[in-house]
Amino acid sequence: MHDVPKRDRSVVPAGAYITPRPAGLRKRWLAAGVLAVLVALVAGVSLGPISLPPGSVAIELLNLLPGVRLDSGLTEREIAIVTELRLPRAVLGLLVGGLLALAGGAYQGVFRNPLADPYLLGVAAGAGLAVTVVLTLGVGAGGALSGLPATIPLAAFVGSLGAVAMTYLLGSAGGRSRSPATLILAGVAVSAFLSAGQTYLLQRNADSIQQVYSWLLGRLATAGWQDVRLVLPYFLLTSLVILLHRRELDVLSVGDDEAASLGLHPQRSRYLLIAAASLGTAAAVSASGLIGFVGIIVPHTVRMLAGASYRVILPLSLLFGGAFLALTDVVARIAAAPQEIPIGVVTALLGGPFFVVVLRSARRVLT
Amino acid sequence: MSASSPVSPPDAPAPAVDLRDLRISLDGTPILAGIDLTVATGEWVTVIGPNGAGKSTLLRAVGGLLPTTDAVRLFGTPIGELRRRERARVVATVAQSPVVPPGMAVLDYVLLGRTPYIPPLGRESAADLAVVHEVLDRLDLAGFHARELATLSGGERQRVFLARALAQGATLLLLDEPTSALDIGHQQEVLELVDQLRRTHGLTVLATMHDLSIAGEYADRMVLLAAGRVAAVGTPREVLTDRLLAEHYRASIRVVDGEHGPLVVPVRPRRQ
Repeated sequence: MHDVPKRDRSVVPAGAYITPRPAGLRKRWLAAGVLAVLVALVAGVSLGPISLPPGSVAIELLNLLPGVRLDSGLTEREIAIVTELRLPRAVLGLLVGGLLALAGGAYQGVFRNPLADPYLLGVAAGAGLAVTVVLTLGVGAGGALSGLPATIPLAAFVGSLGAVAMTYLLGSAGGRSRSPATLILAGVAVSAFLSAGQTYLLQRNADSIQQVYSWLLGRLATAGWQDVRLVLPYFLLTSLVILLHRRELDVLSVGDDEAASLGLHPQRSRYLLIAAASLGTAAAVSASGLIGFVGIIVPHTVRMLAGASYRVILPLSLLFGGAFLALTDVVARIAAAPQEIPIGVVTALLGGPFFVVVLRSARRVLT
Repeated sequence: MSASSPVSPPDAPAPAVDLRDLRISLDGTPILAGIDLTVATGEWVTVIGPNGAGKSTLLRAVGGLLPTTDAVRLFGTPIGELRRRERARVVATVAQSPVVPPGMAVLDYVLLGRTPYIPPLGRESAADLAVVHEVLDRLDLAGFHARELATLSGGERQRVFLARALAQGATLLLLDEPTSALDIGHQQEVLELVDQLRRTHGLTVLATMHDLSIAGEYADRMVLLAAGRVAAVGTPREVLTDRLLAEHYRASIRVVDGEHGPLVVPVRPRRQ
């Protein structure tokens, strides 16, 4: 019988001592995130009803950079497929997925709640209702408004802020007895209420049902550069605000009193971050309809693999969230070809089981 | 003791804490009904009192967590005139049961103490890290830097909470029930550590405690709080008396003489 010596992690072997570093984004994780984005981009452009060789696609993508002129061997028509159809779709997937994951991570930090997510908090439903109002009113007024893309993100932002405020108020109505679960229950109630309002509106405006539904089910399929241009400013603003506050989210994680003792203004940081995350959600919903679970799958996976600090979770959620949604879109496109599965259906299929895993590991927090 | 007299000579250094008629109401209910108290620099003052007397509220007000016009002065400056980050460099609090964020390592937790020195949108400097490593060494936590907070024992965790407060570099330390979660050995260990730090770092300590005997052994002065008012102030010998404790705690106790001060022993009331 041999006793296998157990590895004692508290003993640092001689000469191997490194000054301990605080949590932070390690270079190899950042590189992995960038790589995932690039892989998703090439896959998103190569795969589809007409498959294109990934190598040629990569060359075509390089050709988009200023000053690069390489021969990819693709025909004019294939190049058009790359630059006009598939690339904007893949880029929009990256932006929307990044926003949803980033917003989810920020909500989880702000509410100190592992289950917070743009959908579970009712934020997406609020944005959805607001967009429905704009679309139905627009159609009712002779289609004048529905053609104005700029009003849609704005309406979605107002709707999402209203919804998150409702959820927050309802969730804290219990006073001291409120728990993370209370907030999520409030979010579910708010979602149900807003969706009912949306259904009612649709029923009253049957002529715009098709327009609203094609948007609701996820519009990545019809994405063009104009959608990318619509989302990009919101994407930049949201990412900037949330990423700049990643350290404050770590401080907030020790509680409001402690954060205030450390010199923060917890309520002010919280409102700012909620506004930024809701703006990001609104932009994502306006561009692509309702795509659930990204905000919970991606930040939690990052947390489990790369570390629990928001300085790690937030930037990596942005990258991996984008890659995740762009790749999900590929699955939605080829799994039942020639038909497309709505992308929201695919994320829900993945997200449902994942949610159970999070719920089990979060049980300690919830009780 | 001159620090307890309300009027100090003009050239004396300002006391670490100076409360003048501090009144706090929460939801219309008065919690503190006019508190006057000074804590001299370098002093250890422990606030005692029955549940609901307002001990934690007093600490929160001194820590700047409650709106208080200029009833609270820290080192001579009304707390309202300090900006948040300035205040956080003057006073550090160890809460009664601090939140333990899941997955956070000891090093990162203690580094949070440097928040008032890190630019709002910036990152920690080498100097901040040096302070953190020094504090970890000082508190015998150097081998714990990578451990998750949640995996530590109660005593170790309390030392980490203390380390975070020390990393703040504040000279006024507020301790809300620092030992309530600890067994008697760890209680002594933590309090001895605080007392040592007080001497070596020139800290002022304002604490609340439930265990009266232990409270008396470590405090220079004690404040007995009852129903939001100061019922008694003085040395442990002056405050821990049969009469005062029986009156305000409605408890059956006996005060006996110990080596470092009075010891309070609960005694079951005689059956009638």
